[in-house]
Amino acid sequence: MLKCDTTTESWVTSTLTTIDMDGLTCGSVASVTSIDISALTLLQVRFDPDNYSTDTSSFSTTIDNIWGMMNDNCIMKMSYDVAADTMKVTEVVDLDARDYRLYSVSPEHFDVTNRHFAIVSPVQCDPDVDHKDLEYVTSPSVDFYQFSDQTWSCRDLPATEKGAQAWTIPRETAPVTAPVY
Amino acid sequence: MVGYEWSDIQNKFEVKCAARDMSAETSQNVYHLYSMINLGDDGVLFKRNGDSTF
Repeated sequence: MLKCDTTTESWVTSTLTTIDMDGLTCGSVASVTSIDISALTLLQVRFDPDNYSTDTSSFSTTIDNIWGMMNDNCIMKMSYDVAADTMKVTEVVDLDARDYRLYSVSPEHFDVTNRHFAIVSPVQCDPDVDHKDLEYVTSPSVDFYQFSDQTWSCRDLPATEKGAQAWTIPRETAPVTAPVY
Repeated sequence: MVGYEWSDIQNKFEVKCAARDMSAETSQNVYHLYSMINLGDDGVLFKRNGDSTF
């Protein structure tokens, strides 16, 4: 934590070195049970323009929701305790169960509000798709996760590729041919 | 980073904490992977990509 003490007009620092997963698991398949801070990126909900507070004192005390990502297996909601200078995970959204979406979880693919988070997928929307049968990519898409009822929805994005499909997903079902030297 | 406080008298932000050097990201590939969390009056949590502490 880095804080400007406006009384002494000096910086006050403390170091947060561990984050408690509070018994939660990141990813139903990967089952990650500890936080790798070096791989962790935190994002925060910005002020909501639909519910913008005119009470300036709220800016001093309100900590908008914090979300974190460290792999492709989950998105985590975090809670920071100012007095103790500790952080813990309070909620995990599993992405392993949606592995056909081929997420590459990184801040440039992700945004969050108080109601939803959105994450870009390189493959088109298809609620019935099984990743083993997905052969062609026609467009990227965005998945939306709604916090209130824990449901997903999807919207296709325009593809810049003009052909019938953007590219073919390499399949492992084809026989492997030994390289010729 | 510079710390400011709003002054109703001067109707502008006043510098309260002088400029402090932050860890600079040297790789263009990961420049966007920093964390910057607003804690209100309690400051910020900041971490560069790959650092193991906030």
